[in-house]
Amino acid sequence: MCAKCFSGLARWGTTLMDEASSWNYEDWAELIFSNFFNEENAGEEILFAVDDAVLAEISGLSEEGGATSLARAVKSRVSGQWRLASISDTTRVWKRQGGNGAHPALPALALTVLAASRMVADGTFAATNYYVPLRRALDPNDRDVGAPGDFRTAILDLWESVREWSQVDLGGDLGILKAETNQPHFPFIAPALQHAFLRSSDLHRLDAFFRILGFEPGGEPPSAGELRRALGSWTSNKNEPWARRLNNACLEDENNELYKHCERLLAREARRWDGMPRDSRTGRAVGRLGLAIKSRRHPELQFYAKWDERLGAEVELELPALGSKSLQREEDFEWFAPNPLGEFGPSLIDDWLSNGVELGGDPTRFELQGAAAHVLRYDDSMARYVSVESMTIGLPHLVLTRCVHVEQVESFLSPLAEEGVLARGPVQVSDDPSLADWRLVGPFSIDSRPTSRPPEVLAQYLSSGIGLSLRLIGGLRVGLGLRTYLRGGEPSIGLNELAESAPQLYQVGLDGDEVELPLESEGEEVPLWEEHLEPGHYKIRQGLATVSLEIIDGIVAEAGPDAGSVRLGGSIEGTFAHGRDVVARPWMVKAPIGIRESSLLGAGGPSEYATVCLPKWFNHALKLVEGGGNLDWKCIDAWTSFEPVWQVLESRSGGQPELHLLNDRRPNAQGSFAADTDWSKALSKTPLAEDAPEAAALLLQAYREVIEGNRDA
Amino acid sequence: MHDLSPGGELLQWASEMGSGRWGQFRASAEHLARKHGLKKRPWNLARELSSLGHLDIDWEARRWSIAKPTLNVVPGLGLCVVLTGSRPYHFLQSFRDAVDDPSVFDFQMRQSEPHESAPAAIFAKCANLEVVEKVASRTNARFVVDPSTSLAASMPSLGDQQLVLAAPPDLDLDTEWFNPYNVEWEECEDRGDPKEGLYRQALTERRRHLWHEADRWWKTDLAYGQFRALQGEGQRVMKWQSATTNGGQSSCLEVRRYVRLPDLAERALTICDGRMPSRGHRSDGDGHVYERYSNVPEGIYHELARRLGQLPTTEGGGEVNA
Repeated sequence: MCAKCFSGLARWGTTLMDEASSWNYEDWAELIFSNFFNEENAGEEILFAVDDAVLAEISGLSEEGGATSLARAVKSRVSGQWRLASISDTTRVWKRQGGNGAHPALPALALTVLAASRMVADGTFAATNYYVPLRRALDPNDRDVGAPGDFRTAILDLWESVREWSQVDLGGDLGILKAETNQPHFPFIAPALQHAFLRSSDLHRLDAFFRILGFEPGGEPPSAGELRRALGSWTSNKNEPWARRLNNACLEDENNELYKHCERLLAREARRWDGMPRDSRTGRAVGRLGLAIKSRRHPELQFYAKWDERLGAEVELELPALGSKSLQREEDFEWFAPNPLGEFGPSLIDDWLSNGVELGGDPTRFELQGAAAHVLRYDDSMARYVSVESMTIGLPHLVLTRCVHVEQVESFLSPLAEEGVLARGPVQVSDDPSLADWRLVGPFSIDSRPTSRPPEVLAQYLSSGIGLSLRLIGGLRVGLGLRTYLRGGEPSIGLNELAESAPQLYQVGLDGDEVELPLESEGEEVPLWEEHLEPGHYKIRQGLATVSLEIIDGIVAEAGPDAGSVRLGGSIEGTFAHGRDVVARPWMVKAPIGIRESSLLGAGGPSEYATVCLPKWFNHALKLVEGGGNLDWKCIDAWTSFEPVWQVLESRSGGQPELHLLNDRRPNAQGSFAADTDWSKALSKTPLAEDAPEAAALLLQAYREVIEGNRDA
Repeated sequence: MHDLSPGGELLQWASEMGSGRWGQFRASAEHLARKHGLKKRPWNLARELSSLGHLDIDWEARRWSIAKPTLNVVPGLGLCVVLTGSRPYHFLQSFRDAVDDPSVFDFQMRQSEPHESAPAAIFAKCANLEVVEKVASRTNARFVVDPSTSLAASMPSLGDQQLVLAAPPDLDLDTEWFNPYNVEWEECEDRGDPKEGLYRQALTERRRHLWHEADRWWKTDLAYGQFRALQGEGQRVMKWQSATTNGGQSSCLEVRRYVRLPDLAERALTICDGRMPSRGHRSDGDGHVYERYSNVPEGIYHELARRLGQLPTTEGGGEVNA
């Protein structure tokens, strides 16, 4: 049976389950190969976290059935005497024949990891404790103790063989399965322990952890050591089994050095974290279930399946009490239809809200993380409030939480939200007793990131300054780099609460030399802009952590890329209307003297008369706003539809108006016009300026003759 | 010439970026609001940059871009050209070099309340148009004459608005109705037959607006929705006043507060003096607060009023209290 068939068939029907329970060793090798090795894991170490639950999941059998089937298959090769050498022999033959398909050692190694997971579940690490579950994994009736058969002589070579195959022969294209085989403590069981100390499902929790850490998807993660210490701190006050396992994995134990393996895992997860859930075993996308609420007044809690670009357009989902349902993506929308998924009972909804839910599906399962609080935001396309992974500053949100958390949520949000928005009080989401404890708070918008730590129930939705790692927050980033900021737009430094030391600031010279600069660091965040740093390179250190940044004045000469690419109405860019006719330019005329306006006269008769004055109001405004500055003019712009020929100005000496010639143009007034127009009176009665040339006098005479001639007419 | 206002810093950042998604802009605006202790929503900061002609935003696509640097020759400012558009650091350096000329006097004016967060207006008083062209050439800036006229002429009229049919909204969801008689928003509490007119819902970052008429609903723009409602009620919310003949007082256009002008109208008016409007009461004591735009030619006022269904009302005198 081909490997690809397993992943699909394993879930369906009792007939197939009977088949699965009789799978042979090669069948299990292919099953494990197809479920742990794929292109999503390319270049990355595989977490070979085999436990009863995983075996059940990949085989479609019960937990007991999966483990029993695997054991039967392995026993068929190693016998009850634990002859791992037979697998070594098989491996040599397989390699000589081309080494195609699954590595023959996979089922045997899986069994050793299964045994380690059972030992971890019991909570004690010791060689004496390991071999008992190892023996009983193969044969429940095995009452012997100690390393079985040739386990100690063969096991490390098998691990190394698998590593070489996955890393070298396959080029790491489907992931790398490796384990440290030179551990000084528990050397023969250490490889299995390295893959058993965490479950795949435990790594799901890292999504919330990364958010609380303030780590952004695709961003530069803290160092592996810092991640481990932060995770240890985060899980230290939690009692759930997953938290206990994660916390134990983070402990620096010289005896098992699992913490180093933990660091590698954390670094891997941080590198590939894109803010979306993934199956840590296969690296494949896991679908998300969303919560939807109709309105504050009529909540009507519902669930739907979210679509994202990692998923195809069609999925099959197993719904409780409703069976298998085929879902199709609604075109251009980010959900699958039907939406909502179906009607679910209040007690089920309460359970899902608190504890989460995982729905089996093809090609992938869908999950909803349980939480003490769910944050929702309005989705215009769905006309509902829908659950989100994080709050966005400036957008309205609702918080769905239990009664016991309402007060702390409200008292945290009140100072941040717009005044009065929380005055309406929380709303009960349902009259049903199963959901009576849940309340809706909001809607509210917060305008800026909080400076104090949010309550635990909101921590994963909203980052604050202090956290579990040293990092840069906010700022005006420019350019292609992640850490280049404009001068004046420097970020805040978010401090690491795990570090006992205060942060230190260093300027890095061109030669790499570091000069420490004074840094005020009271409070949970340090606003770097208050340091008024000059452009250059800088480092901030706190304990073992370091972050770097660069400050610059600017990059571009006139405007950044694609300036002007957005246009209002398709043609307006700023104040420029593309494609419009050019507007006529103003004429330049002499600036009026004093406070009076000045008249302008054209050649075409009374219709060509206008006045112009100095914009003294603008001068006043400048003085009012800036407290200084005195604008004066020798020339001024005149926005007339005609070309000014004459200008009436007060004389410099006595204040009497004078006529000044601006352009030598003969009169061309057409038709008759009223006698006492402003144009006529100005030309007839205003004396020519004293310094006017003789030609001006002649031209003026021509204008006056036209006026006289019109009067006579 | 370094503008340390929140808007000035935001403008500098946007100039360096050139264009981007709304999420990036919001993050930068939020940072500056925090830095300056400003209680202002990111989209309000963006609106100020757009009103001043620096930035263009496509709210549907949630994208923005900075306008290229432009020198605007505006009637009535005595050839004090207004610099709009992109202002990255290096451009301002070259602008400073270009105006280092006896025939140019450069200065800037901070915005007054309530828009003190907006970028300062930058002016260059030039001796003549040739000097303006020279400055534009030295800085590689665009040169535009009388932008108000083009902007006003480009603004769609009420009748040009394409309304898009929308599903009836759930009136339970924080909905308000615009009362065109009082020029106020009223909360919708009852589920009865909704009144015709303009509605808004505060569900997303920016409120969404719907027009209800003849039992149907349409998506609409806030500004056009308000003016459509006001036109129906015969309400006049725009008043123009001419300048004094000695130049001591500019012409001005007053628009009732809480009435939103379309983006192009806003831009056509602010470029008239390069600044955001001031706010105040009228001296005739009608009790209303107005946004006051200075140096607005009567022709611009007529064009805008006609397109927005507001019959022109002019006054030749009367003092206006600031």
